[in-house]
Amino acid sequence: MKYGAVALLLLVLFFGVAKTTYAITPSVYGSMNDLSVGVYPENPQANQEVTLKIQSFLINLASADISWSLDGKKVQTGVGMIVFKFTTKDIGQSTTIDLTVLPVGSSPITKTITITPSSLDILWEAIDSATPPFYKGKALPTTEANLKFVAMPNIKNNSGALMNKADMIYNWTNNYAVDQNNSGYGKDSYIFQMPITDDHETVGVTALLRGGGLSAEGQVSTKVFDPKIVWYLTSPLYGPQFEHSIDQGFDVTSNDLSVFAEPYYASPKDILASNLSYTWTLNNQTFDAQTPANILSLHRDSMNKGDAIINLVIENSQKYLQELKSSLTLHLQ
Amino acid sequence: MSTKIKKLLLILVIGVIVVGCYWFFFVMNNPNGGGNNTINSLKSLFPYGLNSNSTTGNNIVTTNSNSVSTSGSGTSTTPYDSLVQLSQRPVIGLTIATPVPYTLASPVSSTTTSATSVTPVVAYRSSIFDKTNLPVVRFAEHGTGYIYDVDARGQYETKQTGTTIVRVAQAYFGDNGNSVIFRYVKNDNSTIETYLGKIVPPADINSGQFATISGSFLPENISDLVMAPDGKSFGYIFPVIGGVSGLALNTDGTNKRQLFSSSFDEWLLDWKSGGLTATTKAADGVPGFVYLVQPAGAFQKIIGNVDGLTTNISPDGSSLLYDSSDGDKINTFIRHANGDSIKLTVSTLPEKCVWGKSSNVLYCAVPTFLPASTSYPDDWYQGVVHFQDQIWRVNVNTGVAVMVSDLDSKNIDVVNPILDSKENFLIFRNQNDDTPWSLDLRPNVSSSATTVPISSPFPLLNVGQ
Repeated sequence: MKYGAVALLLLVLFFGVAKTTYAITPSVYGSMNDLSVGVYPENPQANQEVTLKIQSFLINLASADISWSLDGKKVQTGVGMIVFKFTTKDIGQSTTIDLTVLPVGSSPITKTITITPSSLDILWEAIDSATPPFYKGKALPTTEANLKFVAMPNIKNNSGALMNKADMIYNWTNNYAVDQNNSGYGKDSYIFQMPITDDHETVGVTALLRGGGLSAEGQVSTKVFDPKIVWYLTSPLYGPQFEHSIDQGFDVTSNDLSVFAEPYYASPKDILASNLSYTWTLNNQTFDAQTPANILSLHRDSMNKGDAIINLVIENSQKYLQELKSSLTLHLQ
Repeated sequence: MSTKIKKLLLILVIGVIVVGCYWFFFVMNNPNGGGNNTINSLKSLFPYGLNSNSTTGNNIVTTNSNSVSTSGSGTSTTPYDSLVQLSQRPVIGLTIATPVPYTLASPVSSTTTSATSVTPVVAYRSSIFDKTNLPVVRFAEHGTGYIYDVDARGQYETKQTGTTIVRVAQAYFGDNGNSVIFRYVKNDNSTIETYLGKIVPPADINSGQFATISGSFLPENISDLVMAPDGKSFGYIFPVIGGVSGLALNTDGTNKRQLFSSSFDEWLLDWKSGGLTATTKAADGVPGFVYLVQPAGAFQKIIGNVDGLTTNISPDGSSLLYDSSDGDKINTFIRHANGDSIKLTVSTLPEKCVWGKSSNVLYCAVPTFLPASTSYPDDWYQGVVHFQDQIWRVNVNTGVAVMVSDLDSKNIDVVNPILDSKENFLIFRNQNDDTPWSLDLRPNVSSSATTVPISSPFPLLNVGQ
């Protein structure tokens, strides 16, 4: 069991994606009189091959006449034909399977199974990871980051109408354990903090349309990333120039310049928060704190040529594993 | 010093001045002449307001139309370069503008003579369009927010507004360039301000005054903004408790309405005639999703689970250009309405591409190489890596791309590509230095294509052209 769970986790990590699944009518599950029908895979997706298998402890299925109909058309009959395969349709389009089992010397048993594939994506975002204004990329989580997961169910009825996601009941799981306190009607998002001991987390959710019937579930695995400092120039006219990093060094030809250190993915989002400390050195000499803390304004006293090396260390007094270091070389021309 | 020597010196000084003036006005001001490079080098020394093609403090182009061409036949003999730098100014946003026609207090009347009649025609001066009959590119300058117009060949640059907005970092144009949305970061380096303004031409173009910008601020910290396809409204994402609201507003500040609400914050919007899409912000190795935002606000998935996903939907909404990234590799695809995806024969980021109006052609700026050991699109968004691009035309049905221009092997990293209405010109910004550029896409064009007849400096045209 333990190895199975590990293997499942590895599979999820390998694909690294939110898994889309299905919606299915409750009639498929469990015993139907003396019969039960297993659905494989358990969470069929749209346009996916599905296997149905009849099981019974009371009926001798091996000698029974079994027929399968797909959307009203008989497609498979025979003695002992306990397995039936078909392909699901698009999301929201139901497939109806009629099953008739005629045991020897007994009355026939008929059942109807309806499968309506749906999907559910789980989006996630690091809600307290720093990125600069106008940044078009994703804020990534670092150790102990706060993450928000948002369920995006794609459940349609038979007429193709998308079901209202606000009218659903959400059941969230964290590392496969149900989090009852954060589950419930309309709770389409889920927030938690990455533990200091883990760099991977798996979150899942099931969305059930209020009133029953259609449902969908999904699962996603996240990991933590390393924060980093990227250097830019800033000026009263332009402000920080986030499209032009000077990480590779900068040729200084003017008397004054200001460098801007952007701690990508640092936490908290406010990079000037009091729990972040900035330690600057210029050519290995420490100097007083800057205001604002992430901008270093420099004045050139002489026109001597050479290199000036700036070092910066950013630490979070509340998150001990978060430390950012970077250096920048200025070439005085 | 004798009087004779003084006279000689005086004559010499006057001669030098005359020759200097001649050189300045008749050589340097000739955009087709050999003095063009000299102008560029001078501009770079004086990047603000000393463009010799315009008069400072005046929105009327003062260049003498006779200086457009030095040849008597009205045609230039210099080689025609389809690629031109429109301005040396750093820009933060650009559009193809149709400026409000300037109606003269006493409209210029001219006559068209035929064998039997004389028909009076009223001519309007629609800024520099009248001079060139070329599309007008309107752009906003980085740092100052000054708005300029320039023709698609970069011959006439005219300052339109004098309202200074320092630190301005983004500009969006609507209403054919007659509305503008400025975005900048306040001095705290975190709060985003957004200002919506209408560009109001001066009542009298002979007054020498600039157009003014009249408008108001929108709520702080709008995270993303997109113009509607008709340019008369725009959508934006505004933070609310527990998530974001997607709102729309007309460019005149009226008709505010909700497009959607979401518990998820990190959306990027794209709005074409075929619909509004919301794509999750991208990072290398992180699965992304794109949804079609339905009129009622529901999100209908188009594609998902694509690492590093960025997108660009076609104007009619039938095709989606998207990419997937894997470290320092980018794969670019077109997904059609039937669900089929085809891989392009070139690799680029969708935001470096622009669709033709009919959605059947795609122009893409394609990096000549992708620096190794990088993460896309993250490192590009962070300004850590820059590209040197070529322009390719992509067959939307097959994904096969054909190179249109190598951009003269210049160090150009294309962003904000747009096409003029006839799809003759590709206009874009070079992210490496933020300058605006134009590529003439017309096949077999020659220098005569942009020649302006000396005898007719203001071609006749209809209102609104």
